[in-house]
Amino acid sequence: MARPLGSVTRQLTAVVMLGIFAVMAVVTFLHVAQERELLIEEIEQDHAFIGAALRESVSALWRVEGRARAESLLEQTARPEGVELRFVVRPPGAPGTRSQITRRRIVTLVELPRIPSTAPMALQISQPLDELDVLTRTVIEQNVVVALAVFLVCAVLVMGVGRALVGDPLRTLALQVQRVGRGDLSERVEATRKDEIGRLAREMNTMCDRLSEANERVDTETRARIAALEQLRHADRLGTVGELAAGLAHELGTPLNVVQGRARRILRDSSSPEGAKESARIIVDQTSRMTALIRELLSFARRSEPRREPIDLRALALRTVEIVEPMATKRDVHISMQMPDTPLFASGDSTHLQQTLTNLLVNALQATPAGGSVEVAATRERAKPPADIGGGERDVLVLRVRDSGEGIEEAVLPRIFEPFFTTKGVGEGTGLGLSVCYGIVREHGGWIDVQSRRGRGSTFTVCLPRSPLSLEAGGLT
Amino acid sequence: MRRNWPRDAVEAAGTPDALKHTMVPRLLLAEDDAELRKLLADDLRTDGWDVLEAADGQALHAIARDLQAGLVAPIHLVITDVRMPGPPAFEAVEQILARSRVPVLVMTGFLSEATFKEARRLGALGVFHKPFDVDDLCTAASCLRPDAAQRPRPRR
Repeated sequence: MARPLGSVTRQLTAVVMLGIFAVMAVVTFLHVAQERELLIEEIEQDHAFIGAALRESVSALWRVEGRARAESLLEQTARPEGVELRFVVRPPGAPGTRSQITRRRIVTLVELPRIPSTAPMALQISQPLDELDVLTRTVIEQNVVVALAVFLVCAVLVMGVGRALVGDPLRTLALQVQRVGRGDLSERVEATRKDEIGRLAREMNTMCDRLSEANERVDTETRARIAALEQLRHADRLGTVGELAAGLAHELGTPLNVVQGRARRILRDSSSPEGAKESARIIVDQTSRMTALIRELLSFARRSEPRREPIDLRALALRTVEIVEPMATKRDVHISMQMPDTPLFASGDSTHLQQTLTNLLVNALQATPAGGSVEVAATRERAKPPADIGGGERDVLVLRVRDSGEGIEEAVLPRIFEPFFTTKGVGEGTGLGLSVCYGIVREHGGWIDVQSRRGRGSTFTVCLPRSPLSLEAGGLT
Repeated sequence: MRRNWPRDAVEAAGTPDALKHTMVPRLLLAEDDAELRKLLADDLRTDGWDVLEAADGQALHAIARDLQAGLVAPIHLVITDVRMPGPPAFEAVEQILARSRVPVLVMTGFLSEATFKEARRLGALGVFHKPFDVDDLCTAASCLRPDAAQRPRPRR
């Protein structure tokens, strides 16, 4: 038992062995005591027999020929080895034959018939108890052998049975608990036994079933939540599309006018092939211009599965500014861009990120009075994330939208990212835009900062983690 | 961009009074889209108009100032876009109308209630919503020629 607490089986075996040891010790002790009793009884009978045989003859000889002859007869008497025979004065109050054990010898006094002119005498037969020691040793030896055999058999039995009944099932259960701990709920343990371990296994299986169910429920709910979120985003996107479409309509009006006028001119005078060619070229140009505008708006409106791909934030900003430009023109707001020469690669879903930037730009345009300006910038910066993300200052990619609008009231500022919160009039905003931005940016591992002063405009800063690619790109350029 | 009409043409036109009865009608066309402006100007010239072009708000305001100062020959019609880069077009139109009541046609891509009201307030005779038929605009312009037989009464 090198590791007494190492396994249940070992502990069990140790306890059983201790029990067997205790029982064997008691059995051995009782056995020895009994054997000793029997031996002493046997010796006492022997002594009584010898005493009875010699008693009359030695006392008769003593009476006729004197003590010396009687003693010599005693010496010549055949007897077992170690047995001593001699005459002693009989102590008072000890009639008949009686034996007693003194100092590792058995001493028997046999009363002699009265001999004249002497004190009352007795024949003393004494014998050492060496034989008893030998016997005791033999018994102990036998018992030790038996004990060892029992030990061995029990050890094997207990170890084997213990392992089969307790050790192995517990190991199986421990493995299952480990799997559950890792989140793997696919396996079930065998639970056919009727005992406590079987019950434990059944309970564990029930627990796994419940956990699986709960997991599935959570999964379903998460999927539903994602779907709802995606729908909200789509709704928001469509809301923005409406806003942008108004600008687009104007943007399309002019080229359509040109196309119509040019086509009419071709129809009217077929005399000048050069003029017709020129008109046709202009029509083609105007058509491509309209196609590009419509395509941008459509690709923005289209719903898409979230993806993770490297996105150059400069290109994203350019595309986004292109689609909000008509709206800016309509509202007579100038959009300026500040872009670095090197690519700024973030990792994420370009449609979603474009939606974020579009929302911020549309808000900025709506907040800015006619004649004002909105600035879009993309940079690389060091920034400290907000407390709920945590961590120290880090390198981030930044998209910044600054407007010269009316600013946001301080009381409202903490609420602007809440869904359905809006300060715009009925029908102007869904109150989804900024909450959608917040969600999207958080999903990309980033955050949004707002700085605003009443009457001084607002600045929205989107911080995004750098894509692994941005390091390469930064190193290349 | 301050002046995109030939300076010598203005000088050749002579004094405003002398021009009152000239046979060549003049109009001011303000539109920021170069292609559309060119198209309209070509068609209007074909119709016999002398066309003064303004490519944005600044140019329109410059012409309005010059007209007010009598630096250029008077015009008989204003055709203007509403929203162009630079200062608001309607302000320039008001300035022009303050000097002489000429008919005004408005082109716009954003036909909002506000734009429409503003156009009416200015006394615009027509609001053309882009995309409009170029021929309609030319026809409307023709009706507004000072030598036209049946000239529509300007709305007050």
